[in-house]
Amino acid sequence: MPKVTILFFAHARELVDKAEDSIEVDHKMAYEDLKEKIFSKFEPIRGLKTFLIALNHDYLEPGSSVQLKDSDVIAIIPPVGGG
Amino acid sequence: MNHFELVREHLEIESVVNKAKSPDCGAVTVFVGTARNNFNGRKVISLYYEAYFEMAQIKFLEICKDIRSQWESIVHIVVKHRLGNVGISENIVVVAISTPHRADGLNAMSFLLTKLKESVPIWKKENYEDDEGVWKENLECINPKHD
Repeated sequence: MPKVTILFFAHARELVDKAEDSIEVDHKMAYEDLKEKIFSKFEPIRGLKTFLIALNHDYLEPGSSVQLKDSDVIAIIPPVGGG
Repeated sequence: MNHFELVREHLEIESVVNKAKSPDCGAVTVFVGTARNNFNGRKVISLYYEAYFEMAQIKFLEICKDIRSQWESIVHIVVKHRLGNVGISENIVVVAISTPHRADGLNAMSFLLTKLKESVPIWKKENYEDDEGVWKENLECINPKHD
């Protein structure tokens, strides 16, 4: 199973009390299954009302199929507030 | 040139404008976002910003590409955004776009600001006088409203 880096920002970082960790995932996963996997390892993330997941700096589309490999970086992206 | 920078220190408008200036341009369109001292009647004492720099840079370059495909006269696009604590009335973001004539710059500015607020991974926490801080969501944000 690939082991990927997971980054937490803003509210997500506060909820899990860390900026970075790693998580074992499947090579191919439905977006919703990846999200569940993240919830199962990082339970406090459920405290976010909504968020998106980025894979290697690109937003993943909810409902999509996701291909993952070692050295990938996923990020929990709470609603943005810049500008 | 497409220039994106995140800065922790005071953000000077002049430095952004000068970076965008070009001898073949007659206009530099500038936007300055500043820290407001209130939200829905609550007193805001400061703001705090953080960003996912690598992804923010990539999203900014995607926006620039989109802008340049719509307004071909654009010469330079410069964005500087603050990180960390920002005091009331301080500059949060300064955007400057240079063009030979003003119309394309004004239109591109409006487009850029909307896109910036939609999808560039920068986060804002509002700190209140009478309560703990809250992470704020832009109205334009692309996140699904309910999960």
